[in-house]
Amino acid sequence: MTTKKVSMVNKAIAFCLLVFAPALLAPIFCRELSRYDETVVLAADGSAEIRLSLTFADRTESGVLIPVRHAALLNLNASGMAKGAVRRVENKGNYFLALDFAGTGANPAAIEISFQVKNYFEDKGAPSPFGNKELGYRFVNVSFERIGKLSAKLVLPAGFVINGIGNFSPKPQKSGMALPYTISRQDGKDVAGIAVDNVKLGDEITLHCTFKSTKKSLPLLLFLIALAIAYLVFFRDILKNGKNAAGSKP
Amino acid sequence: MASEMGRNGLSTAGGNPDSAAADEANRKLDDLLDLDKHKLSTIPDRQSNTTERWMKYYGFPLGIAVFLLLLYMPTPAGLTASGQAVLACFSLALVWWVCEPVPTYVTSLILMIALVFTDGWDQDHVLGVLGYDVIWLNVMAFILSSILVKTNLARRLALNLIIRFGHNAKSMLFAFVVLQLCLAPLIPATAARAVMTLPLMLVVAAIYGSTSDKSNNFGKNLFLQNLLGINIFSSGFMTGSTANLIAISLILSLSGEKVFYTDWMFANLPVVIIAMAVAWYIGPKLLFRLKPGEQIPSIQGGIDTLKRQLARMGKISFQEKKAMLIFGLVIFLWVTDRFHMAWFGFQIDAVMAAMVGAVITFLPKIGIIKWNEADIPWHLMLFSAGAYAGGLALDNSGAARWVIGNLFEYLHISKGTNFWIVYVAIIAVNMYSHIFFTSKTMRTIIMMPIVIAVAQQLGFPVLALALPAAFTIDWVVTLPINAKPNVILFSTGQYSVLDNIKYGFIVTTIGIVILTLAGLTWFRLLGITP
Repeated sequence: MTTKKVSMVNKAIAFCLLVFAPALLAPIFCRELSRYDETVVLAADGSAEIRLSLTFADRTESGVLIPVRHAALLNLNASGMAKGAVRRVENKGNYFLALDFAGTGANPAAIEISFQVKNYFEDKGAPSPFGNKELGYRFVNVSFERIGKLSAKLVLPAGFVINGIGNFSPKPQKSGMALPYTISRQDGKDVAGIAVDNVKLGDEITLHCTFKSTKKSLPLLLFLIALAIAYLVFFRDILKNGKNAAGSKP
Repeated sequence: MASEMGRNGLSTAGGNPDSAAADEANRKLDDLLDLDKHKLSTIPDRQSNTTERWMKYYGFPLGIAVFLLLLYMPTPAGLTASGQAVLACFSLALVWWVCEPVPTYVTSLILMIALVFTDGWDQDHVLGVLGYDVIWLNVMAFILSSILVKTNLARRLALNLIIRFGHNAKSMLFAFVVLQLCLAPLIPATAARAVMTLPLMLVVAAIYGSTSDKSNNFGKNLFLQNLLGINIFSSGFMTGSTANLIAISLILSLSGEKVFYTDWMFANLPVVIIAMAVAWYIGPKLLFRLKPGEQIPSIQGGIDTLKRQLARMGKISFQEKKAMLIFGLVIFLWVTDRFHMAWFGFQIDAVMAAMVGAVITFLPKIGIIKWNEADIPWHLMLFSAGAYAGGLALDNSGAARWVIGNLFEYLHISKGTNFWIVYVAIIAVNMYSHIFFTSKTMRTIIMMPIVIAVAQQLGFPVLALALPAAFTIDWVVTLPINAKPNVILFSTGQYSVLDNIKYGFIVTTIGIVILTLAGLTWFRLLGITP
């Protein structure tokens, strides 16, 4: 083959790559989401209803893959999408929700998806010393070039309260910057939320917290009341005798 | 002692009644200055007055009632269960520290236990507080203080100070104001300044009849005034504390406003000097009124006796020179901290510098004291550790942040509110918020973005609110746990938690008034406030 012919072939390959590569990548990398909102409504048995709300900034692709943590998704439903256009797929042990726009001809600017999962938080194993349950949220952006704003909310079952926030990411870049997580209450239920702006491809958003029942120990209450009364009875002499043998003053 | 005096040629002829009186005065002075007899590590036995007995009796159930109320009420929105538990535990401890139904160090231990049992903070973190730098610095401070006391160098320095300035309590207290003002720009670490001046305070207090086992109002004034001076003089200089620098960097990064060293100093140094002068004036007159006997050195023969005592000490001894050298080395390391990297290739912080000094102190032949001679009040280290654990748990659980956030919400500051109402509210919230924190840095990180956001939302110049708010950062004087110098000075036993709260609350309120007046006049002249 002459040098001229080789050059022509290279140019043709380059042209094909330029034209077809975006189309090949399209189902995997949607260009941009302006919003990604996820709400996880937990039930006391550990199951959860997950609601996703996606607002597209610029969607021309034929499909989208959204990472999900669970293999079994129950009652999968998506507004504005035909039945069968949303399905759970697996790729090398990772699970995704595959949204196929091409097959339906639909081109919505926003999509609402909901599904249910069992065992969102595990209620097994050795009980924690204070009855705390672990709860975690993790989202790794493997699907979108950029997400304008990502927010996630973990809504606890009624009768439970957030005990503490553990690890979270991203961390504030500078001291003094606001923390990305919030703790609030909606309709009487505790909510741990995280909101992050400008999530790039590969960014990881995590929020770990512990929660526990709002029930308080009755024996402790009774014991402390009894202790206070006993003190008032047995230490009456303090009012008469000022001697403080223990030397309370430092 | 008489023979010693004879050797020094100071005793008059034997049998003279004047001489006998002088001997007696010297004996009493020696007794007073013998700090081995008033060891900080020994817990004194003391009588309580009627009010204290009532507080003690009702304080115990009151603390439990507050604890149960806070722990068993429904968790407020935005607060975690651990934050609620920490608030309950800390409030219990606060009531008990004030009322003292049990000794303060026992309350601290109860606080540590309560934090763990209520899931407020985990055991590893709670126990780990005993290893914090503030506790180590406390231990080192008392070791270094012991060498100055043991070698009589502290006595010599204090006698010199009193002979020059201490003809009466007010001038003595004023001398300490000047001393702290001079040290502030030289040694930025407040804890280092507390350690450095502690031995002097102890001896001067003793000469005015105030010891750890029998403190008087002079002792309270002296220690609390120094506590105020050490803390707020840092506020006079932008580099006075790390928290000041963080505040400046937050103002710059969140609003784009740059504050220079001289801007800060010209604006706030006069304010803190006036505040200190007011505190110096009202302390002995109103807060802890000095009785006639406390206004002069409690030595028969007055200043003359002290002069004789100083003369009797003779020339500076070899041991004193060694103590001076060791202490000088520590001070040198504190003052030159910014050059350490260039000189040694590593940084020696205030705790490590004190530890270097303490190690030399105990070295055979080179050193000055043995371990048994170091007067370390361990029960107060436990108090400090427990109290610090409570404060840190407030930070860590988000409870402090929640309290401050709600405080601002409660004030209902909204658009259209008069600037000066917002100004006073922000100064007051910033000033009093120190009660909930053990760390100025943490408080700055939480408060400053809120203040800047309030200014931006309401359309006020950011500097007009943020800079005066930053000037309140170093006002950390209400509780023994609010800052490292507080922990160190409280450990002397010269004042109680209640004394500290009373003094702290009044002087911080005065601080708010002075900063408000400054906002209306001085800051306006400088173009900071509109």
